[in-house]
Amino acid sequence: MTYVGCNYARERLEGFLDAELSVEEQIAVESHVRWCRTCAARIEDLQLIGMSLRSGSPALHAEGDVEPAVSALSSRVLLRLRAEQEEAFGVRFRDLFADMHLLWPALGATLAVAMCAGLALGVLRRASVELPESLATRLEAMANPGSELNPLSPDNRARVDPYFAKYVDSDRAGGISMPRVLGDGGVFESIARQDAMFTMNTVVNREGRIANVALIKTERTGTGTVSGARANDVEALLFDAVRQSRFAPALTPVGRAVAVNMVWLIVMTTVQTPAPAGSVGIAPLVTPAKGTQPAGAGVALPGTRRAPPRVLSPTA
Amino acid sequence: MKNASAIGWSEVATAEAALIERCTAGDESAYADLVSAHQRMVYTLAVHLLRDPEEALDLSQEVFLRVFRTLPSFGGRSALKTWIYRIVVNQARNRQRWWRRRHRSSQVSLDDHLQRFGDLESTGEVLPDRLLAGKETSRLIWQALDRLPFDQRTALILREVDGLRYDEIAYSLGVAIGTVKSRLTRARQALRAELLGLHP
Repeated sequence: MTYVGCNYARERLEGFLDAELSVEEQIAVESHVRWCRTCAARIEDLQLIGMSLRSGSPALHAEGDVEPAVSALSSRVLLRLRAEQEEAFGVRFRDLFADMHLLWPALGATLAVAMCAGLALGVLRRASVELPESLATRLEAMANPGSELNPLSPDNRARVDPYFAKYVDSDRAGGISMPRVLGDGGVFESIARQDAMFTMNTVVNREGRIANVALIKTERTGTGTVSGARANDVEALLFDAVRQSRFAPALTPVGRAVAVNMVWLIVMTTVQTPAPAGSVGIAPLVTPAKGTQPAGAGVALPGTRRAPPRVLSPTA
Repeated sequence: MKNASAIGWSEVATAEAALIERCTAGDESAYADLVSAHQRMVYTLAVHLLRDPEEALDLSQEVFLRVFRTLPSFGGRSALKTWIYRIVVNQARNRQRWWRRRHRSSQVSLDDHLQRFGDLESTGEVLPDRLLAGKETSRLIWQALDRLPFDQRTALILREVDGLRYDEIAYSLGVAIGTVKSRLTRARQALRAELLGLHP
């Protein structure tokens, strides 16, 4: 038999009393308690506490008073269960909203969450829009020649050193066809008849539409006084007319549509002829390669005399 | 007819499983059987934890309603009795919290008392021989028990009054066995300290 000391036994006295020790430990502590008066007294204390708890149970004192109620517990529980099962869905649904003291806080919280979500989405949406002057936009434009942001010039070939020509993409190696004007320019007919000349810079994009319209120069000649307001109206009409023009887009040798620069020279002149009617000539001037003639340049307006087309030198 | 004392543990488990199956199928007589089999145990524990017979009755009813609502998710991870103990403890704990929020009084914690007078285990002091188990001692012990923290009190009641093993107490309280041991030790030390202070 193993003899153990007080330190060993004290740590296990409660386990010994509760019969939660292993058989070896139980035997060791029991043998210790037989000769150690102090540990035996501790065991008696613990036993006294346990006995007092069992003998003084408040449930025993209350037994007589509540015994009928305890016996009726089963029937009360069954009644509640039946009532719950028979309770209509509508009543249960109403019970959900019986306690409304959290309604307004819940609504407020929901509204706050919705507002936060909307704000976050708005910020994300704005943040995703790249500014036109941003570095990312410029890099993207440079990486994508022939786009609206980086239009090509028909004289690209002239700028490529022959030594490097073989390394240059065919799109940039020249040979780009000119955009062809569609329609007869009738949109210009309603513009005022004052003698004037407008120079405009535009881009014909890959869809053949006019973009990035900018007025370079305006010259007014001839007789007659035009008020400032009238002149502005004319320019606005011209802008609209130019924007509404449609072209067959410029094509690379491999047939890919690219955006190209285009300079417009619009001249409105009154030709003094025996005929009483004045005539207006409007000519969108493309920046062509040297020696080429823009197809369709010089738009005839119904009922007027065609003005001879004028070609500008290519611009960068 | 088979003698009740001759029924083995496996038969008890089988009978319990059959009762649970009938209850989950909605058999009202099974409900009544389950309540009748456990109502005394549930009520007694509720009285011990709440110290109010009327409130204990109310809690017992709530416990059985919860038992029937959650019986399909029982899963048999413990004995049915231990599972019901766990529900009683949880419901009583919830009520205690509610009660304490509304009745914050100047109750003196026995833990504080223990801190003031020290750990009796380390002093080697024992209770006087003349202190015998009697009605007065029981009353004092139960009064002292009321001032213990809920978890210590519950662990001691489950051990001393209901006779649960450490692992069953651990499941009922939802804690580890080591925690049960430490709570029992602290509760017993506090009660010894209380008795020693009352009978120097």
